[in-house]
Amino acid sequence: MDEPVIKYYRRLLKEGFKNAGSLESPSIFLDTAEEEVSICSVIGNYIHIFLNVKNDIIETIKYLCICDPTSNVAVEILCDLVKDKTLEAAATTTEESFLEELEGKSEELQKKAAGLMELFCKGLARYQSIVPQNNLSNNDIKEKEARQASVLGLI
Amino acid sequence: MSATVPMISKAMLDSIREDFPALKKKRNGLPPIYLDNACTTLVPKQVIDAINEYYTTYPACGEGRSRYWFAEDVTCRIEGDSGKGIKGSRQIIREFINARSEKEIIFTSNTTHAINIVALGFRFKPGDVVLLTDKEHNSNLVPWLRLQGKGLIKLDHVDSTQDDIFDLENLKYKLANRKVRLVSMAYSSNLTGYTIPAKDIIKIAHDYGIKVLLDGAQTVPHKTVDVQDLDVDFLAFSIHKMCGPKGVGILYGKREFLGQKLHESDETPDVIEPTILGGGTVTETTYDSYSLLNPPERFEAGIQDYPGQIAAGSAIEYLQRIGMNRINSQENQLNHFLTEQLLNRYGETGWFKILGPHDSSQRGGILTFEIKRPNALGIAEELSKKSNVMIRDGAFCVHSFLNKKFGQGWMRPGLPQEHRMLYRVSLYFYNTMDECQIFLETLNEIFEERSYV
Ligand SMILES: Cc1ncc(COP(=O)(O)O)c(C=O)c1O
Repeated sequence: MDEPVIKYYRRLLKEGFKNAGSLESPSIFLDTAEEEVSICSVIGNYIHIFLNVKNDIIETIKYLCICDPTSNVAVEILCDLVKDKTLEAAATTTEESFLEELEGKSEELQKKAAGLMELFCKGLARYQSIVPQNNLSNNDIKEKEARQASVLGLI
Repeated sequence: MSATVPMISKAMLDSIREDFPALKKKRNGLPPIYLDNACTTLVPKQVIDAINEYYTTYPACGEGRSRYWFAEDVTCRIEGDSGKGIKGSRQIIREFINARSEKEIIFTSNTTHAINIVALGFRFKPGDVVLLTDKEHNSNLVPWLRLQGKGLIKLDHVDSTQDDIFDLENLKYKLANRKVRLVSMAYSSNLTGYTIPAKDIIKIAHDYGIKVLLDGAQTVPHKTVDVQDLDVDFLAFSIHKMCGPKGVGILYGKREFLGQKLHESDETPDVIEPTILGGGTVTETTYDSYSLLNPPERFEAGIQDYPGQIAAGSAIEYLQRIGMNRINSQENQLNHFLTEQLLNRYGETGWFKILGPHDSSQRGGILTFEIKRPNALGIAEELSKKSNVMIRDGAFCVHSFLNKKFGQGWMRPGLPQEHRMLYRVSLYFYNTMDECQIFLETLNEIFEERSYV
């Protein structure tokens, strides 16, 4: 792990993973496995992101993950960066803004940031193409998860 | 450790390591530290030379299909030629496991294939039960699950005791109360390294007239296995887990269960049927019929992996030169050291647990540990990045047991604080104390970075 990531991660451990959790019926549900986005290079390493959007503004964002610390730092930063922003503004978040938030350089984190933004933009594009959409029910999400478990090929 | 068990001396170890080209590689100026031997092992130059020799010198088919120069060279390296003083690899393997006859040695592509030959060829009757352990590799579970799904058999398993060792009483209970037709068990678990008391199990099963298949994938490479002494009916193992080429495995079967008639329908119900037929399995055909060759050929359909089969003999001779006792003893010594160190450092933390018996002498060369800490993933990747240490993480194809132990979905996204991950170190005779030390130091560095310690 790179030094700035270690520092950030220790803070998370101390202060808690404040964006961790899930949402009941999210407006947008993002899934690294389903979108085949390589945020975490390790097999079996993956993230779910839940967003509630109101009047085009990201009101709440939460995540669940099974991933390494660097990926976790990246997704925590993503949540902080896009919360309360309009979808359009959130989509323009850059890798540099992740590094600013990190207060340091990390190639590894930058790669994960790029992956997360790819995931985010894919989900956003889908959401915008089908708005107004019904919020996803918990059953929809469970079904997706079950499908992914088989795709993951955890060995 | 007993003084009578020969150890691998420093000089011998240095010379052994010279045989493995992969150990001479460097990345970032550091050598590889390969600790994933339960998956597959490194290959010494003697085995690579045997493969090269095949392709460069006699790259033809074997099994006596053709009667010309190259084919004779292939055949005599697999089947032997006493006139020329060449021991074939089938004979080398027979002697290695002390089978009665070479006819009992079937070449397969791996353990999975070998188990499937028995699963698909065994003549089950409706209601027959196949009995497993509670920690089977998917290769000794899925073939049976499929048969169960088709209504051909029922599956049951023997749960381990509280101390994670084999429960002979539970076995006896199941054999006495269920219609068990076949016991099919991992001789040594790839999850914990624990070796079941196979001889006792076989004796008890035979008292009930029940046959036993042992999945020896994690045993045969590590200790002497004598099929006659065990009296086992079938034994499956993989040559790639014992310094041999990938894509070659062995099914040993007692001669009387492999068949001898020209037609499957004339065999007794005890005999397994060959399930993949074609070239190389028959003496002749008409437009309406075929006549089977004897075993092992009837189970070896189509052109075979001749270089692999020849190199399998070289791999086994290589192990024999080192000595199975020495191999076993080296692994035990390293595992003892690692277990002691890890338990001293993290044994009291509550988040570090070794799977299987704590006593390392019961786990051969395998040490699997659970880490229940936030973001417990990615440690194998970090070990590799930092020090070229290669260990395995995940579920090791034993999902069934781990899903029961941790609850289904334990590897799905959750809160970071709830993460857990399993890591497996698996040793072989070429591993050293220094390598173990580097693994321990790097692991501790990762734990420190993550504030686990
Ligand atoms: C206990 C056990 N059985 C079966 C197998 C499958 O072996 P193969 O992949 O060579 O078929 C393995 C592989 O790791 C194993 O450990």
